[in-house]
Amino acid sequence: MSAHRVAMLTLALVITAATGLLAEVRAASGAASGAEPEARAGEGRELFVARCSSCHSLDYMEMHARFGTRALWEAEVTKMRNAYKAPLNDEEAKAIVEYLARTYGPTSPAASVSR
Amino acid sequence: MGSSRTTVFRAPVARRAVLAALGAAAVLQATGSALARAAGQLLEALPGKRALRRLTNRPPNYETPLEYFRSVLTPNEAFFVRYHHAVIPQIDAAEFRLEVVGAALERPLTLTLAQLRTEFPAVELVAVCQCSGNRRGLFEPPVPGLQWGHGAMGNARWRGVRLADVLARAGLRSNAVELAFDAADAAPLEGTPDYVKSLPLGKALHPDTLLAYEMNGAPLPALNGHPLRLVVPGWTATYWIKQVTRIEALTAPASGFWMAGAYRMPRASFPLLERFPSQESGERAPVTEIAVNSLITSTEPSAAGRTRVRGIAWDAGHGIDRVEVSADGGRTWQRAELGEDLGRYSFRPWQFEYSSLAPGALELWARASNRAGQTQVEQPIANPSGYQHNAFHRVRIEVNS
Repeated sequence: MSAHRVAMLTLALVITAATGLLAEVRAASGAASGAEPEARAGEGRELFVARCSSCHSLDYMEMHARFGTRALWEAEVTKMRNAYKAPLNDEEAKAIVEYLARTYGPTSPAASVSR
Repeated sequence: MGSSRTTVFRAPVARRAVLAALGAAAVLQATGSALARAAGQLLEALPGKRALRRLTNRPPNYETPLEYFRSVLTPNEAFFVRYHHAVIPQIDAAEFRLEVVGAALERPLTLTLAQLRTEFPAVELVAVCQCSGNRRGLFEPPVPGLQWGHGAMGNARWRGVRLADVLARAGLRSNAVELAFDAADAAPLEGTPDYVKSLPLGKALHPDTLLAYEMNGAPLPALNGHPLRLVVPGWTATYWIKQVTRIEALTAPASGFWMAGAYRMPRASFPLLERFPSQESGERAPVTEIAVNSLITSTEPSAAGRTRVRGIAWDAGHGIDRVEVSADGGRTWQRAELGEDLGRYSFRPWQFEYSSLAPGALELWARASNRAGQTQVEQPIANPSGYQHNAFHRVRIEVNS
């Protein structure tokens, strides 16, 4: 079906899900089964959560952290903008890449508690 | 459009489960820690499903734990789940409509599920549905994308109608180039490309290509395409559109992101027997056939001092010719005994009994070859998106004295 129609139908649900995410997420360790991983602490976290988690859970970040180089995160953010049409301006994209490169990399401080 | 409810997917989870112990005396482990990293350690049960390995919750991407591959047919409740987009409608079978449209048709159609069930001959076949990126998480160096272990696949008995029969009723014109298939799911963002995939005429009209409404004797599970999905035996799951609501006969090649921009591989690295010429461009070609592959599913002591190894092998439907095992790092290979044949697209079970393995730790390897002369590779073929990993399966076992 056209994405347009579904998007119209489910706008309210999307907002609910995104809002609920902030309130309900728990630790990324998997201790809270069914919960989506919480965004790791760091500068730029709020912008990242607001722009990225409306479409997907943050499992994707945890899954890539073991090899999450700056080049990887730049490529991913570029793909999200160009292919998936994530509505980010250049400044926001740059800030999100900075946050991801600092926070979801093999040597990031939080790496020791991820799975 | 027949969707009665549309939801943004957030998995409600009923329970966690612990991976069952694999063998009594011989313990099967993945070589190194790649598999553990790849698949994630969290097991969760989605609605209607047993506990599967979670990769991502939203959209839902869950893989089948290895122990389920000890049966040739994968149970519906354990069948892997893979979505690109998180807005997944729940479709009432009674309200479902399939539109068959396009400039290359004589007579556009709209069909109900009841019409599909009663007005066309029913066909059944067993076929493996395997994600193009199955085992991506085992590539070294790592490749971005869902970090699947071995379980982004399953084997089922599909029942439905031939796509060719539906297209015959609609009257395919001679100017048809490809058939495009639209899934009912959508992304939360309006601008994200809708998931639409196309097939070349030859594959679409092949008598084994089905619009399936049953899986292993039951209606399709909600998360595996209820009420109707495309079944493309021999080709990877990217083409097996779930909740297919629209078929379009095209007079020019499909050009959307999911064809032109995704699921492509360097052509030279992967000689394919079944190609998709209207979608080939430059060095890249679409993923098509499932590469020949195998999996060791259990090792256990049999008679005194003996060790029985069991597994499965599969390919794109050319047929499994042989499976060989090695306990000495590939210096010598022994031919396994092939089991029940459920058809050329199915998992083929196999087993081998070692009469005298020295006590201690060792690595077992398995490799399959098909009747087209293709054999699994020792090292996976590197490619930018991590598709078609079909290196020998290697497991470490402990043989008790």
